[in-house]
Amino acid sequence: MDERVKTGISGYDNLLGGGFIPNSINLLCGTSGCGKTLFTLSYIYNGAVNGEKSVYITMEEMKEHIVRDAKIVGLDIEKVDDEMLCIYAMSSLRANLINTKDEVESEESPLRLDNLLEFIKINYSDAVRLGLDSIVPLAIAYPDERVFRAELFRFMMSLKKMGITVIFTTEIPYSSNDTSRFGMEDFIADSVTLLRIREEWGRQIKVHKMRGSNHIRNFVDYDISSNGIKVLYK
Amino acid sequence: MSKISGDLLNFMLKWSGKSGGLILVNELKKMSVSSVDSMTLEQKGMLLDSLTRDYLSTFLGHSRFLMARAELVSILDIPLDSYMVNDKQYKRTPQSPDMLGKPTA
Repeated sequence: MDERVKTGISGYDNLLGGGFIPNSINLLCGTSGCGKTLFTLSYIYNGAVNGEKSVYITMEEMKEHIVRDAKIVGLDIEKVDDEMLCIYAMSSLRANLINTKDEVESEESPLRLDNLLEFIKINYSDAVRLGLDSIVPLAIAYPDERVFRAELFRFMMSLKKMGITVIFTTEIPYSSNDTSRFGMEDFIADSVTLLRIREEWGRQIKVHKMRGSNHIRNFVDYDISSNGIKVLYK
Repeated sequence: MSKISGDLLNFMLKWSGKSGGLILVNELKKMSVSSVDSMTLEQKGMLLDSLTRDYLSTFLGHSRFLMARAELVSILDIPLDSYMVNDKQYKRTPQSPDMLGKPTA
């Protein structure tokens, strides 16, 4: 079998045909509350404890909340070397320092993808894994959605060239059957995983797309507990 | 541009890239500081506190955080006693010896 980057999430690697393709871009999409953040954190955490420098960038959560929520599912981030598992809480910048519309949209805005890429190159140039959770708030730096799409494509391709295997998340509305919010994330990505949660079904996961690989195409149940995430597929 | 303004700006650019200038200006605005050159020791301490709390601690691991903060203390020319007394930043749980063990998931 070709080399894969294992997520370390029980059952998920089997759905993916062994794991992510190295240096690939992988989209996790789903409605609010379906576990996108915990999937991303698990991928980052499992990389870091296996000696791969891993970076988690959160747009909406404070660092201490991430650490607390991860602990609930058995990921004790504080016990991992923080040069190996890096967290960048951009939420703090958004809450404390970047206030006006002009600042958000300015050339110097930290929310602009070219500036975020420069930041990653400065601080995490040797990263192997990166989780970006989520891309939705980054769009506010771009009044023109077409520019955002082009910049997002450029950003992801640059991360690939840096040798990073990326998970990024996007949130889709409850009523939608789409796998993207901006109509293009799923085209950029090498793999697309859809998470859904409904009263009648419970939690379900489906690998919607996996470039260059055989994978399981059905919806499969998954569970989130104090023992972590378990995709119920053997 | 004075030495302290230039050094502060370079510090921010070094750690943040192009966004560093905007972040610094907004931090100063928040503190209602109009001139970096005429900051009192108390204002320098506040700037150190807010830059470390609101910014550096949001992305740097412990050792690099300490390095960046020491650099900032030096740029702001804050006396050592003063900044040690105000050292409220960054608590961290000690690492367990088996932290590189295989995940159970």
